[in-house]
This record gives sequence, structure tokens and C-alpha cells, in this order.
Amino acid sequence: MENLSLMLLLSIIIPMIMALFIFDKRSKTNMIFMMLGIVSCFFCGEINGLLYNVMPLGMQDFTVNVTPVVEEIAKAYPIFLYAFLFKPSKKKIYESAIIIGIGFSILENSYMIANNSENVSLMLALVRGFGAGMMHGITTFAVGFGITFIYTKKKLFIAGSFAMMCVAITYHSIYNDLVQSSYSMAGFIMPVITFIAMMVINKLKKLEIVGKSVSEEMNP
Amino acid sequence: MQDIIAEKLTGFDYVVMLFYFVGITAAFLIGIFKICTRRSPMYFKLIIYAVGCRALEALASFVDCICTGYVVYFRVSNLSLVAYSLFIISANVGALDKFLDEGSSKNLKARLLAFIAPVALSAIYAVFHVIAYNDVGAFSLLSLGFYIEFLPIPVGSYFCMKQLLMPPDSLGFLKATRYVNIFILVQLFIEELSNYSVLISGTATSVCAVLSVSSFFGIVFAVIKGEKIWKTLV
Repeated sequence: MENLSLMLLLSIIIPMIMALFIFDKRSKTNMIFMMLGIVSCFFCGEINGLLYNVMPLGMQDFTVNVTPVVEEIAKAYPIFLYAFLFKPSKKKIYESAIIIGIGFSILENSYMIANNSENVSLMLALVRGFGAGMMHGITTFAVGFGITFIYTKKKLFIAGSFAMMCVAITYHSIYNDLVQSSYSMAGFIMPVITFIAMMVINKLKKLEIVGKSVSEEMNP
Repeated sequence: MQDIIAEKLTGFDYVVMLFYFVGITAAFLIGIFKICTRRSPMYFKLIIYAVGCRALEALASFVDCICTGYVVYFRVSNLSLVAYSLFIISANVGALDKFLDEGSSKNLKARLLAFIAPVALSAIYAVFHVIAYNDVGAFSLLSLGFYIEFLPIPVGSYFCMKQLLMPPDSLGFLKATRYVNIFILVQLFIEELSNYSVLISGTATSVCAVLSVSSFFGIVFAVIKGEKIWKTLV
């Protein structure tokens, strides 16, 4: 079990690479982002391991203060590159950001469950899926959302990139703090509530835009 | 040295922190549903995102306290304070400043007088730390907090003050953003002064929390009003 994360990485990513030869362009792009998320998780595991040995912090302090910084930077890196090299549409950035987050959580959850195989339960799988899975998706989406500010104005680059990264790190830090405490259930519910709130806001935004275009058509 | 890094909390402190978090979150949610769910100018959206950052920071502080039982003066979630200031700076500089100040000499007076706000905030911050931590070692320990937490705040306050002091523009954008800038400045000063309340009593802390939450509501209502004025201009 020494190289468990490497074994999991290979077993997950090799079928994905093979699938790349079959998929069309759109599916291929999504699959590549999923793979980038998985690879980011692998590297983060290694970097976190190295930093944990060097830094004079306990596990709780380390996972609250250091892990979120490392993981959010690693997850944001592919989105930054994608946004600046290919200049895709806002929708594509949002999608790719969420896919990277989900890819990240796939390897993380697999590792967590494989590493605790003696204490594993269906409840743990559900909790990991809804909690950590959504949390990674939401934080990466936040960074992707921030990057799109540059589409409105170039001067908003700092707000878009760095400020939203800070927000993502804080959110991740709160989640890690909660799940390790006796209020762990609150930690797992937090991403679900955030996700529902995001859906409601998105729905209201769409309704507003649709309503506006209908009223504009009626009253040109 | 441990006393400087961490401080034990009482039950009353938890109530104040919960009130602070719920208050700012309520203000943020009002802003989100009134501004961010429709097509609004970027300036107002960025101010609401800034309030959201403070709500997140308040949640992080509260969670940290209920999980550990003490308040730590520096932790990674303080980065959301940086995000708060960056959103204010971006709203004023990225979304607005270029329209209002093209670098001509007519705004020179406002540009210079605006330094009053950052200087005053820095003075309040420095004096508090000298009084509270009358120890060179403690001061150097807090320097990390200074660079991360405090440094973006005077920069943000400078632009708010500058826009308040500038002569009215022909398009009327300054009229739309005036109250937003006033409430942001009020909030920043309350925030800095509330540091002193820790030295006085628990009642002073709760009064500061009420004032701070009120200032956040003020920011959000000023944003809603400013957005309506802005839409009549464009």
C-alpha cells in the first residue's frame, strides 16, 4: 500500500486516456480537464506530504491553513492556462473549472476510501461524495468565475484572479476545519447548501434575462 | 507569547461572533438577490462580492472558535479580508476610476487630500498595537498580519475618499456611488476602532459588532440605491 495514490492515479487515468481516442472534440476537452483535476490531486498529495514533514504544525492546523492554499493553487493552474491561452467563452470556463474540481475529488475520495478500507461504510461514501466532491467543484468554480471578470475589463484581473482565489482558500479552510471537528456533519452539509444557493441564483438570473428580453420584444 | 497568538473565549463572545456572521450574511444575501441576480453594473456587483468576502471571513472566525475554543489572530482564512479590499479597489479603480479621473490637474486636490483616510486608518492600527502589545517581540510577530490583513485596507480607503472629494462629474456616476463610498469608509473606521473594544469590555465589543453589521447593511442599501440612480444615467 506504499504508493496507493500512484496506483489509484494509474488505474483511473489509463482508461480515460484510451477513451480520448474515441471521443469527439467537446467530450475530449471535458475528459482532459477531468484528467488534469485527477493529476492535480496526485501532485497535491505529494506536495502536502513534503510540507507536512517540514512545517512545525499539527494535523488540524496543517489541513486548515496549508492544504487549502496548495490545493486551490494546483486546481486553478490549469484553468488559468486554459483561459489565457485559448480565450474560451465564459460558459466553457465555468464548465472546465467544475470538471477539474470533480476530477480532483475523484482521486481524493478514492484514496480516502481505499486508505480506510476497514472503517468504510456507505454513509462515508455518501458524505465524501456530497461533501468533499461538491466542495472541490464549488471552490474551483469560484476561481473560474473570477477569471471571467477579465472579460468585462482587463483591470479587473486582480479581483478576478487573486481575490476569488482567496475566497476559495477560505471556503476550503472552513470546510476542513468543520469536518475534523465534532461538527463534521455541518461541514458536509455546507457545500450542498452553497450548491443549492448557486442554483437558485442562476435560475433567478436566467429568469431575469428571459423576462427582460421578452419585455424588450413587447416594448421595443 | 502564546497569549498573543491565541485568546480564550467566553460564551458572550460566541454570541457576538454569531450575530456578526448572521448580520453580514443577511446583508450579503439581500445584495445578491437585489443586484447579482439581474444585469447590474460591475461596480455594484464587486461591492456586493466584497461584502460576501466579509461574511465568509466572519463564518471562518466563528467556525474556528467553535472548533478550537480560542481565537487565533492569524490564520489562512484572513485572506478573505484581502479579497474584501481587492474587490473594493477593483470596483473603484478597475470599474470606475478611469472614467472619473483621467489625470488632469482639476482632481489634484482630491488626489492629495484622499491620503487622509489611509493615514488615519494606519494611525489607528499602529496606536492600537502599541497599546495592546507593548512588546517589540509581539509587534514583530504581528507584522505578518499587518502585511496580509491590513495593507490592502488603506489602499481601498484611498480610492473611496478620493471619489468623495472629487468635483461632481458630468455623467453623474459620483452621485450614484457617493453613499457606497461613505458607508465603506465608515465600515473601515469602525472595524479598526473596534480593535480597541477588546481592551475595554465585552459590551464595547458587542456595540462595535452592531455598528459594523449596520455599516454593512448601509453599504448594501447604498448599492441598491446607487444602482437605481446609475440606471437612470446610462
